[in-house]
Amino acid sequence: MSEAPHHDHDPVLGEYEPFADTALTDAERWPTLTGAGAGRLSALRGHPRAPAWVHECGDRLDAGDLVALADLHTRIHHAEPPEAGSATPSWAADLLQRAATAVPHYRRAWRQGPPPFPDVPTITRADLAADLASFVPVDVPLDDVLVGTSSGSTGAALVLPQHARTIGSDLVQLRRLVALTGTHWAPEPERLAVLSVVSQETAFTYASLLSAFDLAGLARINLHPSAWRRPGDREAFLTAMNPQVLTSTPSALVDLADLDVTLHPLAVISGATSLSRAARDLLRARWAAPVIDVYGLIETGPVAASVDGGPHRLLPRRQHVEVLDAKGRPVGVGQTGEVVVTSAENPYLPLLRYRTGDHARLTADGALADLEGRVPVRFATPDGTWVDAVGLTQVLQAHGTLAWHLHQDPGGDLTLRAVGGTEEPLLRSIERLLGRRPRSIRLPRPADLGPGKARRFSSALPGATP
Amino acid sequence: MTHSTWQRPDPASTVPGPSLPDLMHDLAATPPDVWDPDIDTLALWADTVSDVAHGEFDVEAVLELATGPRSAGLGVIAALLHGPALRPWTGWWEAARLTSVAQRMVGTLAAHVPPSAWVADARSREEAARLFLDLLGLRPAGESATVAADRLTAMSSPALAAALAELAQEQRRAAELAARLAEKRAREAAARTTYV
Repeated sequence: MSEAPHHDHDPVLGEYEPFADTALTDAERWPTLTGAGAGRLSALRGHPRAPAWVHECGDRLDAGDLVALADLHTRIHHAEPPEAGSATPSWAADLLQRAATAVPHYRRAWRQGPPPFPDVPTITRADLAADLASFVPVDVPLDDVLVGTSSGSTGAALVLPQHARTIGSDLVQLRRLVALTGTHWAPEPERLAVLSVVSQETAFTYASLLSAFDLAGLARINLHPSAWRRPGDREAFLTAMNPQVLTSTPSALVDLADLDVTLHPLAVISGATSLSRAARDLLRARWAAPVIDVYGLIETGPVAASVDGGPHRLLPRRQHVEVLDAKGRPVGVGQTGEVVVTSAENPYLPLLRYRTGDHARLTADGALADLEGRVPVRFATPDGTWVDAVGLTQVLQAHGTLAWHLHQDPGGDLTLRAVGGTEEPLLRSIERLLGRRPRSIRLPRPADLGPGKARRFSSALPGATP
Repeated sequence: MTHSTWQRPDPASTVPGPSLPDLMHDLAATPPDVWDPDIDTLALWADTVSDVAHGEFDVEAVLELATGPRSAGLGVIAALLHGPALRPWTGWWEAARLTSVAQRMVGTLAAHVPPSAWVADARSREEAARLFLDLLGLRPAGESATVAADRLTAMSSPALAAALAELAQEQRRAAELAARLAEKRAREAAARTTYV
């Protein structure tokens, strides 16, 4: 590595120093590690063109976890997706009962038993931030707690307790999603199973193994040049790894697509922020592979996914998803509302009616359409009329914009920071919609929009976020 | 349940408050309106928070406490916060702190000692008054922090002891959770295959 990485705004890094948070042996990181797996790990760590790894990270899955995940794989691999807005599932009643006896926040209120599900008050990220321990069951041993960090779009990062099996189940879900695209994904000893990519000045990077996938390789790398020891290592490493599945954020995937290196992924997984149609098309064209857009939050884990660019369909998990209006009532089919998740997936943090802050339109078959991971923002025209950001999204996508941030200041002036697309026709379209021409700032890469969960729209005008 | 289960983690975290007899007098003088089943307890609580506290009032957090048979407990502590004994502390409270106190008093204590006993029964009145002050971060005037904690523990009835044990369990859990999340073995985390 040419220079030591330094702190950036990634909340997961915290008071970050390379290897500062490593505490385990490899046998603890991969409790079922075999000789072959150890050899694979050693080769990955010591690859002559590898980046300067700055962290160690296993999946912490023991034999019992692997049995449970194999069983999960069998149960869900061909499962139909649950439907958002459907009747409350039977397991939710058990979850409420358990909350009434073991989760402090609820047992204080539900001495006489839990209310009917529709009467359960919703909670938000602010509730977790204010008193996390009140939402953690008092009867679950905390010996195996792992840290999950949620950055959110505003406010301080939230540190949450997580369990290895819950995190490990993400891979089971990904395998199902890849299969839904008609792609066969099985471990190949000569290929990296999963390449996790970030593209920022400083980040955790590590070589790892997937215990639940024949101890196949996983690497988290940083595309930033400072993360590599010599020029050319990045491209050489990527070529040598020949990853089966790429997983990242839209902006880092676009950066990866821009590199002069030939990859042959079976599938591309995008998450964390909304994947624009233009970015999806670009990634598909670049690698001739299906692009899967996963929606979720650290608090809930993955919730839904789109494998074809259409609405996001729920994942077969112990999660119940509602779409609620501003008054907390379920919206009808075709209506837009806030995505609210009840989840029994994380034993340390069962969630009852958790308001995600994200909005979607409920489709007739229980999928989430027009999913926008953001607080809804509207923009004011000079005559005081409000225009919803959804219309702007359509215009921006129609002009091929890869990523953007449109802001309205207190005086009503607009600033558009955008990547890709056709500039002048887009500015004219926005002017037609909003009656004002934005000041335009062109950016070379989506990552230039800034770190963290990208915000597409913002406004300093009162009433802009109803 | 034994009395020894209640251990305030940091006895020094209380500051001097009103005299205990004054607060118990206010409890005994609770207006009879609070027992009226038709009273809008939520509105009463909202007015109280507005009158004596600062900061944002989380309606949903109190909503469940304001309905059902224990809702009178919310009325009782609203009356206490308005009473002469606590008047010097008007404006001192944060709304979130009062919400938390209401949850403990109504959600936990009232499950073991009904609010009517807080007012009518002398022993329960002292228990409720001591616990209320403790939750507010105050202690009876003239008592050291250690003495106040000891007296709260010593006089606890089995019912209050059960409530205090529950509080203690939650405090221990919160401390354990914070410690576990700060451990390196937790912070090393687990490798992820998705970005959410």
